[in-house]
Amino acid sequence: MAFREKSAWISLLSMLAVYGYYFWTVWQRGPAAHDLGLLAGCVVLLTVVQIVLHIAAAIAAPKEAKAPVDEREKQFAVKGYRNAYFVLATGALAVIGAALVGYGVADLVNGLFFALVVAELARVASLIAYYRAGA
Amino acid sequence: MSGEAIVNSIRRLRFEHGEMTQQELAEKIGLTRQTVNAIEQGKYSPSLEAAFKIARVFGVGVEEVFRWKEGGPD
Repeated sequence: MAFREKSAWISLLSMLAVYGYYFWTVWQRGPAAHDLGLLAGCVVLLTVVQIVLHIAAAIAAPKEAKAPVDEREKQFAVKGYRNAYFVLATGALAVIGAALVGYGVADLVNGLFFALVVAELARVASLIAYYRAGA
Repeated sequence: MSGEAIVNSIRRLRFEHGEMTQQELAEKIGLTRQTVNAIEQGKYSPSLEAAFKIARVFGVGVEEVFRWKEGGPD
């Protein structure tokens, strides 16, 4: 598996684990729950996990890790951002709808953050799909 | 970019140049080995710049490396 595909897998799985834990915890607490401390902790944990795993992946394939991104990989990245945009736009519209029907600030903040996370997941999942397809 | 109508002779040209590996070709033209493999298999159509770089490595014209498949679009 190429280094950059491995990198996308690291991002996907670590985000699913860490943000999955965050949203599961918040959801269990019920409506209007939010915990900035937990969120900050999750962001720090995710950053540390991703740095450590990327360093490990780079040590395993130093030549590939140092190689510049080529034209095909740039195309994958552009397509990934395009896909993520549609997900984020859908999420943003859903949050606007939630605001109009009277959801509280905590729910809206969680909803918007959820949309950002799902959009990022869509981006890295797209990258993996393009790398797998090879085209 | 779809490579459906384009065929290439990269595999043969690599063979004729001392069994040059995809990795060696990739390093000469500044692409990844995976991208060279995708081009060779017709899954990815390279940019014009990359196509000329590939041709230059083999010392041939770009039309000897890439050509339209018989019956493909003009």
